[in-house]
Amino acid sequence: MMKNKIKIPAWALTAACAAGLLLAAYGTIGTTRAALTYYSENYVTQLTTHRIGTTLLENGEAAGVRDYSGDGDAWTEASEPLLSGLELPNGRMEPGKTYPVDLAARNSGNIDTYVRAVVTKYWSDGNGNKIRSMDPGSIALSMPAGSGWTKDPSASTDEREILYYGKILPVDGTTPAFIDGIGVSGAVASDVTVETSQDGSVITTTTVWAADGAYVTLECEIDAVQTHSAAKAIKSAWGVDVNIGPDGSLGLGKGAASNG
Amino acid sequence: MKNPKNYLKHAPAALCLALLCMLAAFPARQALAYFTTYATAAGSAPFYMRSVETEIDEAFYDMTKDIQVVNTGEEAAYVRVRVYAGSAFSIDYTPGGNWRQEGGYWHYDLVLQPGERTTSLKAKIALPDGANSEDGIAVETFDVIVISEFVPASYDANGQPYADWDLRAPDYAKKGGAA
Repeated sequence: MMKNKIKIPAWALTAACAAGLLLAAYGTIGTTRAALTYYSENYVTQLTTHRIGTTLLENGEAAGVRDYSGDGDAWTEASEPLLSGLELPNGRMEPGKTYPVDLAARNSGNIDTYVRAVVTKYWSDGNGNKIRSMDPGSIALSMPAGSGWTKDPSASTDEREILYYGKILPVDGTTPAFIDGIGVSGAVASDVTVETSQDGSVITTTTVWAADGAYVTLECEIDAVQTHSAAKAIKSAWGVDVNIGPDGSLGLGKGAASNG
Repeated sequence: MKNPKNYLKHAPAALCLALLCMLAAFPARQALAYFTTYATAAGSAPFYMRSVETEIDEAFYDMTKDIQVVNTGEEAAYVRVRVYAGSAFSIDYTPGGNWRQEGGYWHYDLVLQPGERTTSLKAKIALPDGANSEDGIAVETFDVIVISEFVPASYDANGQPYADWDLRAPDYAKKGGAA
């Protein structure tokens, strides 16, 4: 009966012994070095953590915040109701009037960012329920010219606008306002239901405006992305193609219209 | 008992698989490495309509219609007036302040706040020449119709009110009076 024997060449045994000796020698030296550093002077080291952060400002006050705290997956977050500070002389919005409200973005992190704003407007019943039968196009947003924000027409609908800030937003920097007013078109008065009833010779006509008692609702989101490898980061995070100029300027792909 | 060499046969394949897994993990790690964040907020403001109504306040004396329009509603409004009479009758107007004739209408250029009224617009009716003479037309009665229209005030970007006469609503019916 034959036994299976594995023959180990002599040169392999020699190499293994040499490697063992080297490892042992390195370990000794390492230990010696560690002992020496015990007597060395104290060194002050500083670890810098990149913390991205962004803040939505309404009339200069923080309405929405989300800053990385630099500790694991912890974020500092806050959100305040929009439009609560609107000056409504009669306690309500009136058709045909524009009410001033400034919305802007601030870099509240410690790295430069590119930012965009996603603004959604619709009618609601006051309890947060969207009234889908009402035209969100009758809610008008005023977007100031020359602000540096660019509207993406390919993403624009009656209900939603997406705007991109065309420059790097430095740490602690604040953009110009991308919205400076909100109103309801006077044409909303045309959206009515007329009910007629007759009692004897008296005919009563009742007109009910669809917008009567409704609430103008605004949602706003500020998205921020790092400036390093910005084109790839923006494509990954926002799903859009952008061009980054030598001066850091951000341009959308074809079809973009600038109001800045 | 299995031969250890059989395990060694699969070693290259296992190493390749492990290498592929490592390579596949690198792009995923890069995609997750971008710094991104977002901040959100939402809110609402109430909106409701108030009634927009006007009434004609008129008097008739000396063959003259003395017309004023009163805003009896709860919204600021603009008004305009038109006067109709038979084709044989001519109408001579004497407008008060802020009335302006355009497109067959007399427009009142000031916005009427609730409760306010326009100045007078006087429309003097002239009978046809020779009316009630032996050879002329016999005029015993005639109708003069005054129509007043209104629209709720619109406002421009500076908050200044203006009249948008293209607004239409079924209940913004023409309101008139007849004498």
